[in-house]
Order: sequence, then structure tokens, then C-alpha cells
Amino acid sequence: MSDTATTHGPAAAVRAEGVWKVFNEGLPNEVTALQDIHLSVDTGEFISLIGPSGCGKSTLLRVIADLTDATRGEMTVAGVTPHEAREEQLYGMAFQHAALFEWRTVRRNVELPLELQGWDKAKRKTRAMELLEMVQLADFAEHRPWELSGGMQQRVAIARSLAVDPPLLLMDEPFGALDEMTRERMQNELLRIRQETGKSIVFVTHSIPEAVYLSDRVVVMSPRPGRITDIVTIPLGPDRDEDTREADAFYESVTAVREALRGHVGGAGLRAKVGEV
Amino acid sequence: MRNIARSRWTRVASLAAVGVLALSACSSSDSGSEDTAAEDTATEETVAEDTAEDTATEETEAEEAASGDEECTELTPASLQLQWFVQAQFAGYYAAKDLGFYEDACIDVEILEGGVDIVPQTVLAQGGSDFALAWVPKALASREQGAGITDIAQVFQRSGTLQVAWADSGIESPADFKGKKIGNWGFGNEYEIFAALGEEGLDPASDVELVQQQFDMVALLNREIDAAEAMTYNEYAMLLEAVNPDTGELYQPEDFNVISYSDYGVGMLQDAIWADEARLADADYADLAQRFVTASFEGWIYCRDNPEECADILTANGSQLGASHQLWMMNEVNKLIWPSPNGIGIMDPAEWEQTVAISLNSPNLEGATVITTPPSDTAYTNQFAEAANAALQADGVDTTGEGFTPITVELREGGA
Amino acid sequence: MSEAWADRLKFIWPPVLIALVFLGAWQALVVFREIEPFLLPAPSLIGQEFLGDISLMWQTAYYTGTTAFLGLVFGTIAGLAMALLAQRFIVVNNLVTPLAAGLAAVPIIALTPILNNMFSITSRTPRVLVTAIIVFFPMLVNVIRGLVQVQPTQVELMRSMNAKPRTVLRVLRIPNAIPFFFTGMKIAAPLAVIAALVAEYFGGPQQGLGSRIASSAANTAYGRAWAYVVAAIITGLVFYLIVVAVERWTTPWTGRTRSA
Repeated sequence: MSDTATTHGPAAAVRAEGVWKVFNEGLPNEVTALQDIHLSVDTGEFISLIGPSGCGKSTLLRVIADLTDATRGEMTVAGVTPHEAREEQLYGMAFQHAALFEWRTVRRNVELPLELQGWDKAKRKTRAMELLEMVQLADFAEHRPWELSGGMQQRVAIARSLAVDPPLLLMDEPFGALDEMTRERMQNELLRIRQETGKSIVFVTHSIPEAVYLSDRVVVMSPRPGRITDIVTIPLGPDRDEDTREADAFYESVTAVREALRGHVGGAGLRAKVGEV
Repeated sequence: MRNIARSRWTRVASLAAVGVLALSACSSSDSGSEDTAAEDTATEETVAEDTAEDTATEETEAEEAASGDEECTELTPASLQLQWFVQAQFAGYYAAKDLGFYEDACIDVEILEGGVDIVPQTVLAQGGSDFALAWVPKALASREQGAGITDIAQVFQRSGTLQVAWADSGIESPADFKGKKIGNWGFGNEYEIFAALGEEGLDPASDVELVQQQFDMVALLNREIDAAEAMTYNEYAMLLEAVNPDTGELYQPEDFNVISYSDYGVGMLQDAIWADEARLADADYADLAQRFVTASFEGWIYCRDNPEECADILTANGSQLGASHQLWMMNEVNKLIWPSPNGIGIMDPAEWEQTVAISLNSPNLEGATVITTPPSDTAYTNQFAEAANAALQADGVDTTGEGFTPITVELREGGA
Repeated sequence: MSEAWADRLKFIWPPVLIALVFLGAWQALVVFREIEPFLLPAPSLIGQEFLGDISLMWQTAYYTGTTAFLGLVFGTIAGLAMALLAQRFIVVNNLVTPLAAGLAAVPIIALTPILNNMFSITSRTPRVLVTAIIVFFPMLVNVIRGLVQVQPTQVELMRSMNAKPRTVLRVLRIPNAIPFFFTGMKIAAPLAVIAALVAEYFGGPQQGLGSRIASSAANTAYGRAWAYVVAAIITGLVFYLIVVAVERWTTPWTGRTRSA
């Protein structure tokens, strides 16, 4: 199957065409964080952005989230501009820090996006409990954030990001601060949630195994200027579990990504041409 | 021999205690000049200019013989702690110093200025000075708390405390204080007021609204209070130095009702010279005290007869008060001293009894009286004053001031 | 004994012990050196004066405490209002913070006579104003900090949820600022008592701690003066402890270490 498949079916979850992000344009300290980004994320697809520091992966995520503007180029999120997507809450976001509000209970933290959308009390509570069930923290609904471990707090953050049931999830290294075991457990959680909800996910990470384990495709980026150098398709199929981590295909994919990061081009059938979607 | 058992540790501990409070007696020092807030309260030595005036020299020689001292080879140092900053209230001492009376008595006197947080009788009791000036009630209170001091010369014979109200206020006597806002300086200077209220059967807590004044007369001038506490020689003058906005002229005595606590039999004795009681057993100190008292009296007598010059002496010694205010103060202080029917500095037993009675019996708002037990017999002595009077009279000096007439002083705006 | 109490006792006994040792040494010093009260009153004398007329101590402390409380309230409200403005408008912040710092540096002894002359000396107003001015600066600074020092991630989160600045203020900044508010209060509350007390030295009604300390000291009644000082200390402590209690009750999350 051609890896250069462009969007088909309903509007792509994310579509970037010729997106540039330049800081301090025209000034001596000008920095090109993103150079001519072309990327399309299918609905229901899980893609990871991976690369060394300064490659622009977080910046790209923020352009998608309308937390920063693209200097040039066109970005559509769920068919509309990023700004509109943010206004209509078409995406949920999770960060490296769970950023829960210490003064709210776990449940009220999850309710936060719903509050901002003006939901009434009872509906908020029901929905929040649903979400906490999904991340298996319903028992901790009335607890305070400091009573939860790091992994649990991230699960709450993920539940929160799902509150308004957005079609798209943007995640910026959400498991980066966790230990390896917790991390793997969280990865399983995330896959399960994705199975149950069918959402599109754009996931920024530093970890190659994590990117491979979670994604349909891994977008490899490199810095100075920030750009996409490679997109690696992961042939592991939708049903993944602990055994997958020990499968040959997994190791091969990991190797492919690693080599892409190092800048090698090669290995048949596994990678798309540079820059092509 | 006096045994001053003051170890450094005691001194440190006691200084810490006094220092932490950092606010105590002013006594009559409350009637400080307007500039006092800005002044440092250090006990700085006032450098006296030894101006031996021609007129003074003749008198000096006469007095020298009167004090009957021998050949003076070396001056005995002595220090006097004042209650406030240099002003005409202490004219006699500055005059005695500048005109050489102390020197002729073979004493080298250092005059220590007072200040807001300086308690003169405590300084004396701690050995910080050889003599101190203090009002009798406050000194008695210190005495009751263990300060070993004795009144050796009651220079001011009568109280100079007034309560001043506007002429249109209807307040003409302490009985009229009822229901009014009565200003006072706080800091332990309000007992005459309490005594006056007591005499009228008024309860200070409920019949009167007591308000603490600042060291100016603004509260009365702005009519925020109905009657202000004032000394004849200081704050009262501040009123008469202020411009009446309605007339453009200075306020006149007719604009005010002046109530003098002496007139109502509740005056308390004020400025006196105090000495270290235990130390008086030492012959040298007693002799020093005698000479000091005699020479001080000479200074006061000179100021009675030459008020303008004495006012100038104060100014020359660094007093911040304006010329007319200084002269007013000098004149009023003279009125408190003269006439001294029994002789200058000699205690009037009736006045003493009155002061002691009020100190024992008039409680303030907290229910506290100045003292709780009558002072012992050694609280004052006329020994030194009487000897001084005798010596001076033998030289033909007038020590009672029977014929004393005050001068008229014209105040100018701001006391200039 | 329950564990909580055992813990509290472990906390309390060292300072209590030190206090007792100190008082004991003081008493011994006065007794054995035969120090006169006009130099240094003994703790026993102070205790006598204090306990001898407890209702007077209470009334006096109540009077000054009321002044302190009013000043604290006004100063805090002013500080809060200004902090909100300063967070919203950087211009205000740059203008107000140095001014407030300058004002805070003016000593109470300079401020009070000026205010006494500007306002009626027979009322509480000048003293309440002095107290409010003194309280204003710590409250302002701490609340600004609380409004501004939010986790950047939390701000991004709010923006990703399409929150307007006013909503961010209400939902994020203000709750975040509450512990900082209490930090400010823990400074401001005892300060208010001190300010109210010192302001009493300069004229006005005389039923308060400051006036009475001055009056007693002026009459060399140091035992009584110190008794009032003890009352002042207790008043300041009470103010402080009330703040701590309210803080503990409303912000259980203060001081917890995050586990992530």
C-alpha cells in the first residue's frame, strides 16, 4: 500500500501545508522553528512527532493547538482553522505536567473544560465520573491531586482532555516525567482509550519505543531549521499488547525510526519518501 | 562610702529593659518646642561659650566670696541632666555656667540635654549624672520603684500647668469639663487633671472624653478638642503666636479661657533639683551638691533680674526657640519661681503635702495613682537650699524676690 | 493520648521550655542582684500587674486590637484591589509596586503625626489609616505574586480550553493566589497590631495599649508597662494564629509536595 496516501474519506484530523514558524523574523536572532511542514493526519490515526531538542515538534503541536500562529502556510484542524478549532473545542490537550489544580478535587479537575463550556452541575458530574471510570480512577473522584501518584495524575489529565469529547487529542510528552514501568502502563491505557473512543491523536515524544508502540506513523523531525525529515509507517496493526513489545516487527520499526533519526535513508517498504505525505 | 554595686551585667539588663520600651517620661519636657520632633534625643553636651560679660564679672566676684570657698586648684566635674532640650525653662543653670558662677564655686558643670525617651531621675539613679531636674510626682514614682533620689532644691514654687479653652466655649473652670473633649499630653502628665476632676466629683472615665494631644496646639486651634493642656511658659505662648485667620492678627489672651490648676488647689510641684540620696552621705558629694545649689540659685537670681540677657544666653547655647518665645518662657518661668516667700529652692510644706496627697489619691483611667505609699522623710531636704539662701543673703542678695515684677513680652508670629 | 496531640506536643515543648528557662533566669537575676523595679521589673511583678487587673488588660488590648483589625481590613482590601489591577495592567504594576515600597519605608513615627493633623485627632481614623498603609505593601506584593506565579502549563491549558483572560483570572489565578494571600496576612496581621500600638503614642484617645505603655513607663511603673506589653504580644499572637487557622481550614493544599 502506498505510503504516500493522502487524505480520503472525511476531513483529515490535521492538515498542514507549507507551514512555517519563524521567530524574530528579520532580526539578528531570527530562528526558523518550522520549515515548510507538510503533514496530514487521518481521522482516527495515531501519529507521533519525534526528534531531538529544537526540531520543532512541540512548536508544531502548538501551532495545531492555536497556542501560537504559523508565520506562513495553511493549517487545518478537523477541517477548520486552528483558531476555530480551539474556539469550538475540537481538540483536547495534555502536557508533560498534569497541571491539575491543587485546590480542586480530582473530579472537579476533570470537570474544568465542561465548566468553561457552561455545562450545568449535574451533567458535569455525570460526565466526569464517566471519564474517571474510563481511566479507572472513579474511586479517587473526591481525592485531592497531591494524594495521587504521578501516573494517576496524568490519567486524570487525560480524562480531562477527553471531557468535551473532542475528535482530536494533542499530547506533548505526557509520560515524559514518569518512570519506565508506569510509562508502559500508561501507554497501554492510552491505546485502550483510543480503541474505545476512536480519536485521532498527535503525540510528541522523545522515546523511540514509545513512538513505535503507540503510533500508526512516526514523524521524524530534525532541528535547525525544524523540519520533517522522515515519516515511518508502523506495521503493527491496531491490536497491540505487551507481547507486541517483543515482536520482531516492533524491533524492526524501532530500528527504522532510530536510523531515520540518525539521518539514514533505506530499508524497503517501511518508510515514506522524505517530505511526502 | 557609697557602694555602687552596679555590675556591667545589671547595667546591660536594665538598659535593655528601658531601651525596649523606648518611650518614657517627658514630664514638663512635653512642653517642648515645635522643633523637638525633628531633633535628636541624644544626650549631647551643650558646649557653653564662656562669655564672661562685664556686668557679670562684678557680681561673680561678690558671689565668690559669698559661697565661701577656698582656693580652687582644680574644678570638680559635675553633670546635670535636664528634662528637655535647652530652653529658658533651665535658664538659671545655663546662666550660672556661662557667667562663671559654677566656675567660681569650683565646679565644671556639664549640662546634659533631655529628650523624649530620657528619664532624668533614672539617669541620676543609675549614676549617669550627678544631678537631675525632674517634676516631683514623676520623681516620687521613680523613688517608689527603687530609685534612690532626693529633692535638694524645689526651684519652681508653683505649678505652671494650664487647661486652655476658647473664650466662646463656655469652659471656665474644671467643673465645665464635663462632657467635653479634654486634651492632655499623656506620658504621665495628666494627674492634675484627674485631681481637678476628682474635686468636682467627675468620673474621668465617663464624664469626660480624654484625648492625647501632640506636642503642638493644632488640636485646639482646629477645635478638635475643647480644652488643651498647656504650660504657662510654652504651649500657651504657641497659641498667642498663631495667627487668627479671622483677623489676620495674632490671637489675643481675650480669645481664650485659661484655667490654672494652681488656682483650684490641685497644682503639683514641678521642676526641682534632685541628687543621689545614698551618695549624699559622702562628704565630697554633699559639698559638691551645696556648691552646685548655691551657684544655680545665683544663676536663677540673675535671670530674675536680667531676663533678656538670660534669654540670649539660651539662644547662644543652641536653643531652637524663637526670640520672643524664649523671652516669654523666661518671664513665665520667673513667675513660677518668684516670689519664693521662704527663699529660693526652699520647699513649701503645704505645696509638698498637696502634691503628695494628689499623688496618693487621684487615680488615672487605669485606676493607678502616682504612688501607693507616702514617700519617706528623705524624699526632700531643705538643708542645701537653706544654706545657700543664708550665704547669698549674707552678701546682700535678694533670695526671695518679693519685689519681683514680671516684664511684658510681646510675642511675634511663630515665636520669632 | 492521640497521635495528633502527641505530635503537637513535640512541636510545642521546646519553645515553652526555653521561655520558662529565660523567665526563670530573669527572675533569679532580679532577686539575687536585688535589682530595683525602676531598672528592671521581675517577671513576678509583671505577672502580678497583668493578672491583677485582667479585665483592664483585656479592654486595653481590645481597643488597640479593634484599631488593628480595621486597619488590617482596609489595607488588605486596598492591597487586593491594587493587586488585581497590577496583574491585569503591567503599567499599573510598574507604577504601584515601587510607590508602595517607598510608602512602606516611611516609618510609622513620621506618618502618624501627619495623619493626626490631617484627620481628627479625637477619632480612630489616623491610627486606622496608618495601620492600613503599613499593611498595604505586604498584601499587595504577595497577592500580585500569587496572581502572576501560576504554572505556565496551567495557563496554556486554560488557553487550550479557549478561556478568556477574565475566566483565567477567576478560575486559575485567584485560587492560585490564595496561599500567597495568607502568606501576606501572616506578615500583615501582627504588623497591624504593632502599627496600631505605635500610632497611639502620638495623640488621640488614650484607652489603648500604646498609650498605656507610654503612660506607665513615664511614671516609672515598669511592671505595669511590661504587663501591657505582654497583652500586646498576646494580641499579636492571636491575630497571627487566627490567620493560620483560617489558612489551614480553607487551603488544605498548602505546603503539600506534589508527587509528580
